[in-house]
Amino acid sequence: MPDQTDPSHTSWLDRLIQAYQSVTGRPGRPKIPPPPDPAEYVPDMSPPTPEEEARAKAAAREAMRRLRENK
Amino acid sequence: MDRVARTRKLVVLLARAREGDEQALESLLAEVHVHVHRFFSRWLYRRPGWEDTVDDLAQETIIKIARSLDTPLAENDAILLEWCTTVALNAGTDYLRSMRDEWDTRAFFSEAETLGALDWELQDCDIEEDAGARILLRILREAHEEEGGDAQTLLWHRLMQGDEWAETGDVLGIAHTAAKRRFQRMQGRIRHAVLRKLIALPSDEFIAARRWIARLDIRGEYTMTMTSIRPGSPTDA
Repeated sequence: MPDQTDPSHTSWLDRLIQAYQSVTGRPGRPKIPPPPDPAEYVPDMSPPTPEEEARAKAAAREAMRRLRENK
Repeated sequence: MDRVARTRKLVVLLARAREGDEQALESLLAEVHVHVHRFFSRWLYRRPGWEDTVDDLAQETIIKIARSLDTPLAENDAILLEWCTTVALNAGTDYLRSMRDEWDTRAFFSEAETLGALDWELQDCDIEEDAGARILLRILREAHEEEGGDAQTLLWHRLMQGDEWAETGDVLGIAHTAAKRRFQRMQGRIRHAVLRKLIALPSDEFIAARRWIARLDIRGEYTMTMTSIRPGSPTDA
């Protein structure tokens, strides 16, 4: 173990860096999944399912409500 | 309805929406929602607990699209869907970054408190609302990332693994005295980088972060340096 009396090991900056490294190396840290490449992404143009259609209509209604509110 | 027919339908709806037809706009947003929801579902497919995130992102994206319908990019029907995809991509990237920043901020300050790197009780702070906490973390991250791979290795072995100088030197293939000197030089660079970034902050960010900086266990000379430089800094202009 390192010499704990060594001031270079116990400075505030070291402790902050240690905290930062501990966080970035933590297994539960959320990863940003890479998005599909827009250049190669082929939209799925199949007809919407009834569930998709219902969800889309509700989302569009909500969007319109919020747009009117913020006018 | 094939792709061409669906795209044509979108273009017609878009033209009517631009003329102020709210019904057309709502129909257009419903059509676009299917598209962006599928995009987000493919991006975040089978990630447990992310179903709500996909719904939220699709909702926010169609509002962004509705507010940007006058952009020239949306006028070209050939690239209408591609443009919607780009809006969705940007909205998703921003959201996921902010989500990770939020997680990082909470975890970092929790860890820093455990390590005794901060001299106050964390419960006093509402991190979710505290822009200054995020600014401090961002500065530390940027200063840390300016260091090269060897420095990162050095930090990891010395601070996280708790290795002796000799062990650390072995990993890097250098003498233990060289490892110690390199660590101290790196420490100085990071300290300097943190100071430089603090001073270069826009005034509003500096004020937000100063509340946290004052609570750090900073040596007197560092505080004096910071306060003596700040009043005359060009960023005040």
